[in-house]
Amino acid sequence: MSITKHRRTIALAGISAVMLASCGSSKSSTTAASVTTAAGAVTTAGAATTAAAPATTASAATTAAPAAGGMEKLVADCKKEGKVNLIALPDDWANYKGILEAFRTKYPGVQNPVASPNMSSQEELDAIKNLKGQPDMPDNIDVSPAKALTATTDGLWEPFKPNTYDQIPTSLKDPAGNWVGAYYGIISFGSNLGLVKNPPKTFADLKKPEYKGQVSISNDPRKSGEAFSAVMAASLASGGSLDDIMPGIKFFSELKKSGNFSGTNFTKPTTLSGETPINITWSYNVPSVLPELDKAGIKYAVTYPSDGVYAGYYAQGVVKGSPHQACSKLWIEHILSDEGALGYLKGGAIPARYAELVKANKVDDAAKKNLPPADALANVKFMTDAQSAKASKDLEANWGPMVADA
Amino acid sequence: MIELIGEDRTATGAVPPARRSWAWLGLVPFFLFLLLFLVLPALGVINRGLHTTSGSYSLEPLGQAFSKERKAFLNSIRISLLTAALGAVLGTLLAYAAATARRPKWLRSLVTSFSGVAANLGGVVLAFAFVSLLGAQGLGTRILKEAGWDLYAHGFKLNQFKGFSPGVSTAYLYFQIPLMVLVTLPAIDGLKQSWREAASNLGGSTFTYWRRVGLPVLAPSMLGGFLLLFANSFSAFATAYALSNQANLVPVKISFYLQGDNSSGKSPMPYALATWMILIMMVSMAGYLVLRKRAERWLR
Repeated sequence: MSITKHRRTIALAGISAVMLASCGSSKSSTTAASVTTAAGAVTTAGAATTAAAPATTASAATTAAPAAGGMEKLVADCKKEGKVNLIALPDDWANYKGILEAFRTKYPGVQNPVASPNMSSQEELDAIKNLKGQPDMPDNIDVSPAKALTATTDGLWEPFKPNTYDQIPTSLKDPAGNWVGAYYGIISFGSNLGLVKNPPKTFADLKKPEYKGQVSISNDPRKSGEAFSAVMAASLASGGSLDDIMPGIKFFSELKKSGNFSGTNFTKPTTLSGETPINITWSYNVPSVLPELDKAGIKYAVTYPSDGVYAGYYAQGVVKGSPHQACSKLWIEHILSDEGALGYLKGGAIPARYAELVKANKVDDAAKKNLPPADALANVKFMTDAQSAKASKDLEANWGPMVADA
Repeated sequence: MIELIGEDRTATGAVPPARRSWAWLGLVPFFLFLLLFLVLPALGVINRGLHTTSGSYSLEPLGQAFSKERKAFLNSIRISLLTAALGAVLGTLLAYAAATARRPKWLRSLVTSFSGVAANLGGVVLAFAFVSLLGAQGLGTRILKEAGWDLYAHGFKLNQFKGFSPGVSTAYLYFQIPLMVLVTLPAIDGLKQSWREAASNLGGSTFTYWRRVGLPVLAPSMLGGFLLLFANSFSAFATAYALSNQANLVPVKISFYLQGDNSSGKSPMPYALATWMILIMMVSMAGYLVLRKRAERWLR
């Protein structure tokens, strides 16, 4: 554990120096580099989020000064580009609708069209390869940690550290600045009360005969981060660990055998029509659908499985060689800004800079109303790169024979 | 040579001069299209399906694809055989009924125009229609449940791909039967009333007529139609995918390996699977064309 962290610090110092030098926006690259190194050292020493906070804010204050000119230049450069090609950001997902609107209001004249809102993370990576060199090539992606790793291996990222980089907990950012994790959530159950009399409260509950044909996940877990996380959460609930996803695969294999598992493609329409009565989903994907469910006369309950608390983030980053580099960087700045963070919060997602916002008194009770209960969030741990690579490999080898094709 | 003949003919004055025809030019766009969007991509697919990951030519990927996706092939073949057989029989009966029913004059045109539409109505639209009708909360499911027959309690599932996959098979029949109607209707029209009269004049019963005359004449069309339906079902992608993105069928597997896999872009797997599909398509379409030629003998 400490070895990896140590290595990360070295990589951070080295790469940030290279990055700042190549960026050319800061006047003296040597001083800037040393500041980031210091910040890196602080995060290594401190545990995770809050412990290192005073030190990080201090360093953030120092880095903010040279970056301020950089920000103005970034905005000016983006205005010239006039557009950022986004992809796979559904309106209902973590309140992306609001976050997208806030960006357009903040930077008038800059468009942010979202291609194929319902694509999976893997499809986003494919889109980068397929649209390479074309004007509609994605500039910025939002992918699961496992696919972020693939993107790193394939060299798809353009490293970029936003102004707020130092305020992001270590586990929610790439030390090389390839990506940041702007928000996270935990796995929850959404139940249509018209069809589900007793909403399930644990993964163990899902095996009960009363939920026959009712339990679904959103996609193929080999492709999609949300579905992957449902399997990982099931694993945590069935004796597995972040190092071992197999009990989760076995869980779904049993669920399929008993007939409780209904499928792998729930969407808003299937939720509204009652076709998928119990969805295993991110906690932040329900709040924005609630008004619509309400309008359709559907009573909906969200429960947080006590036996499988799994937290997951999505990684955002600039795509290497895409047509609108400045706007893509500006988008990263936006989703990590206070406005962006409060936008995620409104949708029920926990923004990466949550602790920072709470400290600055920017989060009132109304803003917190869509969050999962505090005790569920108290001990969240994220997967490391190695864990997520192992889980992907096991899932790819076993999901087909044990669940999908069984 | 040609000029000589031409001269000869003008000399006699009987036939106008044979001039070089430029009509074939009209075919150029068609063949160009065929080359660019069918032949070349197919060759590209086969080429990639015959390369191992390391880049050497080999038949190994084909063998691997088959052994690894055996279940998908079995499912696809089972569904295709079932829906082709049912489609061929039901489609022929419907076509016969429509062709011979004289009374409401509009009946025949209704059947043919509906068939024309339904035969082409596959994909997401059809899947959506079946989910609304026979999904867990579908209208039909609810009505049957009210009537005391719970489909889902009996293990029916629209998105299950196992055995004969009742859900997707039912959906496929929606376009298989009409396609069969379109294919066999001309053959049924070709059954001449006089043959029937001749058979009964010679003392044959209705049964003898069908056994000795009707069915032998129809057989090539029906078999050809069966093969066409088989190919049609084997290659159907969107309907199955829309019903379940994890459908264990060959076309859906190809798409999975193309984009779902981490090795995407490197493995010959999707191309090897597609090569198998091209082979199966070619065999069944060749059979269809041979049989259609035989069937057309009676239509002249």
